[in-house]
Amino acid sequence: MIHVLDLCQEPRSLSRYEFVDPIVRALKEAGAHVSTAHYTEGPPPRAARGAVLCGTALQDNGYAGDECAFSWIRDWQYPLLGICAGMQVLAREAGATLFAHTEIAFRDLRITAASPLLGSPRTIPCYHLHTQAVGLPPGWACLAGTPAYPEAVWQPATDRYGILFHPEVRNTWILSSFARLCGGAPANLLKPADETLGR
Amino acid sequence: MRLGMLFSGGKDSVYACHRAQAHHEVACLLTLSPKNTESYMFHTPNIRHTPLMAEVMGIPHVMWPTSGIEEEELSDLDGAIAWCAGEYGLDGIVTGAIASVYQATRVQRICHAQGLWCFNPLWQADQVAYLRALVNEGFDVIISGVFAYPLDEAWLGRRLDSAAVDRLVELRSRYGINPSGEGGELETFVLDAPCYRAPLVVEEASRTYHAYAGVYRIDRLGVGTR
Repeated sequence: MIHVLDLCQEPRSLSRYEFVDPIVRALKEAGAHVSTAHYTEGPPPRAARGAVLCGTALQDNGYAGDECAFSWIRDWQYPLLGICAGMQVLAREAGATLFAHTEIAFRDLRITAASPLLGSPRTIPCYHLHTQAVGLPPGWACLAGTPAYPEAVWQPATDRYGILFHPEVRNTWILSSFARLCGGAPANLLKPADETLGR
Repeated sequence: MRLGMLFSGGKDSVYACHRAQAHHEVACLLTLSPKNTESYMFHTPNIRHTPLMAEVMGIPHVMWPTSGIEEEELSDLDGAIAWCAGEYGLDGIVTGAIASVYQATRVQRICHAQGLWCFNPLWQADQVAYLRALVNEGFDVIISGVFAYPLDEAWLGRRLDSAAVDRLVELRSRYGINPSGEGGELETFVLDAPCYRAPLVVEEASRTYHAYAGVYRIDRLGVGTR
């Protein structure tokens, strides 16, 4: 099971439809079993074998002021994927610092190093939506961007990834790839993708 | 929060508004009325009926003129949002964007520059699940425009019911159309919704159609009773 953490300003917020539900849907379409909770609701459940920390709206940086809520990350033993705000949380836990950097664009990004999550070096189009970025944590590899402004990072020893762009836009294959890294269920266990609507 | 809704009268803006109202106050509906019917950003068929829609939704409405010419209309949108933010004390803007990165990035930039939140509650939604949710949750939606093969004249004015959704799903498999019209294949108009105080009734309408492009023009629209 993969645990998806909602980093938006409050549980069950209006932003959840935009930043959490598409991630959940993509993981389910990849065959993974998924649980979801707001970051203030505690660490992932024991059954989780991977976790995704989602992004937030541009105006929403509340998660950055709540370091205690993420202290479980230090001892977490399974793969982690931080998306945008989630990358900032992971990298900060690993000793990197946040800095202001606004980007609202859909543009090409060069993957410069191979990894199990992003595959071989190549250029992919990516959706960027952030007002903060984070430096490269010590001991982490930069997979895209530059060490001063990394856009994808990887800590191989702990299987932790951070991506500054939003994979739910045109790059859901990254979420499929993460589901595989977590030992997600095969595609023949695919569940209907209609669970984000109608509630 | 007090939010402004970018409002076209189509299903996406009405459904997004309905979702936003469950979390925040929607303080105004903002409709940009393009002179150019090929507007990149703003839906056009039957947009003149949005004031009546706002009335049955009980939300103040602002109709703002725009050139409808690519990029020029963004400066119109910027001005319209700034005016609404001041007039209605808005904290943010809601859009019905589903997959259009063009639309989303531009509205995000405008909101960010004005210090406003931007919400897209249908962003990356599964299109078929979304259409089924509309039907199941009591949205009375009609097709008000078709703009792609194989959508023919029979679709104009057709209700979006379960059979219509099934047919659109079939057409997606065979022809690759976006069933919710996100690729500009079709336009819609919402006659009733859970957020309406009373349903709207088409009293007179006309169709224009040629070569897989047509519009269902509502010539007279009234307010019905429940």
